[in-house]
Amino acid sequence: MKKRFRNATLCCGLVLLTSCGGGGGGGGTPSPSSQRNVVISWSANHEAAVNRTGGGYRLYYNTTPNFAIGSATPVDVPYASGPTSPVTTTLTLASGTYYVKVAAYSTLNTAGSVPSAEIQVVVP
Amino acid sequence: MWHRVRQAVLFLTALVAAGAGCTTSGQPFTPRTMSAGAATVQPDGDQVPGEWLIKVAPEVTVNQLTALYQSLGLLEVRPVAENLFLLRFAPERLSSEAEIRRVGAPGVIFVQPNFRYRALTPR
Amino acid sequence: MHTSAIRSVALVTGVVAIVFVTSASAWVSPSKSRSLEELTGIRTSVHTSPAGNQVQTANLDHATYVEGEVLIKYRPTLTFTARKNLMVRLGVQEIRNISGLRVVHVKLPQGQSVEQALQVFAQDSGVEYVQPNFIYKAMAAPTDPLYGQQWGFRNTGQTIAGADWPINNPGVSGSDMNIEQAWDHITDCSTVVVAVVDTGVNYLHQELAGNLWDGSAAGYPNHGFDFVGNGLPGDTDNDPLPQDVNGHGTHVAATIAATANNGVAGSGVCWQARIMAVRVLSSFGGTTASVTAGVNFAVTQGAHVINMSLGGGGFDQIFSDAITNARTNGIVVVVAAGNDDSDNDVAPTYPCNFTHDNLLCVAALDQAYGRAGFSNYGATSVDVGAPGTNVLSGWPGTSFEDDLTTWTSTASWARVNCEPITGLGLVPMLVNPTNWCANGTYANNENAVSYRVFDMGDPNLRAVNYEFWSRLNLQANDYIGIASKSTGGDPFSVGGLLITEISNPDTFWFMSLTDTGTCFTSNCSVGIRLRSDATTVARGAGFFWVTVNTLLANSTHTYVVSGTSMASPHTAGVAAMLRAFNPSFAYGDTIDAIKNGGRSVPALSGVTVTGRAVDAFGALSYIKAPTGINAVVQ
Repeated sequence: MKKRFRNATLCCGLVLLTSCGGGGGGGGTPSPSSQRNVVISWSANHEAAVNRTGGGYRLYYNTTPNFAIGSATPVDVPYASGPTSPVTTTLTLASGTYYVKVAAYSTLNTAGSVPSAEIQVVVP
Repeated sequence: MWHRVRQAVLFLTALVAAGAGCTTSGQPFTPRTMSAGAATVQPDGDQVPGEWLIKVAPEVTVNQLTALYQSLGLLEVRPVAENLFLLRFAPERLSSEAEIRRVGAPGVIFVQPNFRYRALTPR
Repeated sequence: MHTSAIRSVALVTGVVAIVFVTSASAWVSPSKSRSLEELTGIRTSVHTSPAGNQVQTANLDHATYVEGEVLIKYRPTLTFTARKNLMVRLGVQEIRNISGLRVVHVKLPQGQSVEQALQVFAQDSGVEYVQPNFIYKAMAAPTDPLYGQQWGFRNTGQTIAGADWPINNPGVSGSDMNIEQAWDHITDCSTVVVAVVDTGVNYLHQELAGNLWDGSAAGYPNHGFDFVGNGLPGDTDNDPLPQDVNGHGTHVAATIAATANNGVAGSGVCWQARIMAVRVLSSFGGTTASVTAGVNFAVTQGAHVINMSLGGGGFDQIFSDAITNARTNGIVVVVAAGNDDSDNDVAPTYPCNFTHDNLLCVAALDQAYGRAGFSNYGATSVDVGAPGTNVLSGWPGTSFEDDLTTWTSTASWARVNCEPITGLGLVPMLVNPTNWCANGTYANNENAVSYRVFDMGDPNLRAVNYEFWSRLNLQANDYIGIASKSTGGDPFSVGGLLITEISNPDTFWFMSLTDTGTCFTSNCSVGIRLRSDATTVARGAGFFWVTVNTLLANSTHTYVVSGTSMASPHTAGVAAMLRAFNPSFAYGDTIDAIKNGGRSVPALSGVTVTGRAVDAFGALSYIKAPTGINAVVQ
């Protein structure tokens, strides 16, 4: 128990250090409190293969509207367990305007579906 | 090839009664019968002449329909589905859709021909 | 559908060029590539990287591999320690070290996909190459003896024997529904009921006997219902015996669900689908009354898919209402486009032209994936195309055409060849009187018989259908009669059965006889007789041919037929497959998958809604774009 607590402290300490370390001298360092959690959710796809091992969704976001998904690193939301893949994920974003879309994939279709319509998210 | 001929050339219209034997209903496939049908084949006819499908108000009965259409040469009233009947008239008494509707109003809500359908092969 | 972009990157060290995955391709060393392609069907291509290496890339679009694992080949100069550090750097866990190949099979860190790993690992200086851990499976090609003739399932450029459509036979290899790839993922459609609304189904056929809807609990022990009987006016023969003496419905049903790998005939699209036999067409066709009664039966009895390889001319409100009823119950309705080589957008035909969104209308493709010359089309009315020429499938029993040349006839019958049939030219006939071609007339007091003996002694025989195709011109009180006799000889003699007599027609005539047991002997004679009274005569009688179709229990018979009637069940089978694979699919999901998962075919472009041919694996692998994206800032 003690050992775990120590490791946890070490871990969290590292995280703190990292986030504090953004930018060197000078201004423009974003403070941690400007990051917000944004919960993205969507309707579940009906394809069985999307909703089992090897399937899931990919979420793409960018600050430019109508972006090509190839230009964004996807957030993978894979199937974990149960009858369906998760239909929600949380992004941690600094203030600004973002554009988000979601595609679904499966082992039969690893490249994935055409992405969803794009939505705009404003993080104050 | 002959299958092609059959469908390319022939359409069926008026029919003639069958000869000996009628297939029975509700039995396993054992009754021994020889049933026959014959028909002229003419290259026309989207619909069966003398037959009409009518949709009626729920309270209309078979007897009422029989009485209504007797004068037009009605041969048979057959239930098809809920509130839907097939009327068969003598082929020589050719009534129009409008006439059927007029005679049956207001209990008869809708009238249409009994269209023909055929298997889409042989070509 | 998927395009793979391939980029090659020269490493910082400049020693080795690595090609890595950007969307859906992976590369393998050339010596491995041939077996990869053979075993998985993954297409590969060779190119030269900037560093001068020959590399082979594989298109992963339809490959399957184990998620969460990759195979890494480390550079030859790596020490043992360096290899361990590599594992740590990449965050992977070793599953197995294939030391002779310098390959290690690893498990990826939680949350990292194979695609991501391929991109990231390829950039590491210690990695020579990285690839997915592919799953190798043999393609599930059926072993049935006639499977090789079913070009719609696998087109190898084979010539179809017994073809009735000569164009593009043989066709082009690869012009098929890509169904074997779909069979790798699903072959069992036993959870899906497909109603074949047609001429009935021979449910005693060996290819279908195990694949039938069980309606016994609902009071239908013979897997369906017969709404049309022998098709005559006033025939109230609605009974639960949907046997098929015509052949069409059996052929359609077997395309959908014929059992595979049973050593008999061929295979169906989705094995073990439950066929519901709904008989609405007799030899004389069907009507609104019979067809809509059939559709409503299928809906009430729980069909998931309805196939209707039939068509007629007028807009039919009652039929439309029946399809709406099917839609309300989530049923996918698949129909044939028609065989008049006409544009359905201009000359509508139904049910194809109905606009319900649960209805798919299918055109016919030939063996080269051209539009079959007879097939209707329509840019807004016909949705997709599917194989429809020279289709081999089950048949109720034997089928042959008898041209009456071997019939035993009295002296006033003769064979002539002067009567044209539209589209065929002159067709030989057996006529009475002998001077038919010179417009002669038959004799008064005539009693002229012609007959033939048939072997109807097969113990598996359950029904025989004889169809007489003739040109008749008779006076009132003069008759053409048909008779049979189970002990052979003149069927109009004592002991024979007079079946029917017809008087006073003047046109082409078609007579259909169905025998369910009166003449099941090895010398059953069947014959025709011209009988006239003492006064007035007319031109007489001429017979073109007699078709004889038997219905056999345990039938293994097949037949090769063409028509949009055949294209429709190829598609209905894929609809059943989708429904079996995806239990959560609504009718819209199934239809979208078939339409969007199809393969673009030039011959269908501009003349169908989608311009696509049905592709079974394309439909199975199609994924809809997600909807309902919503964001909530916490």
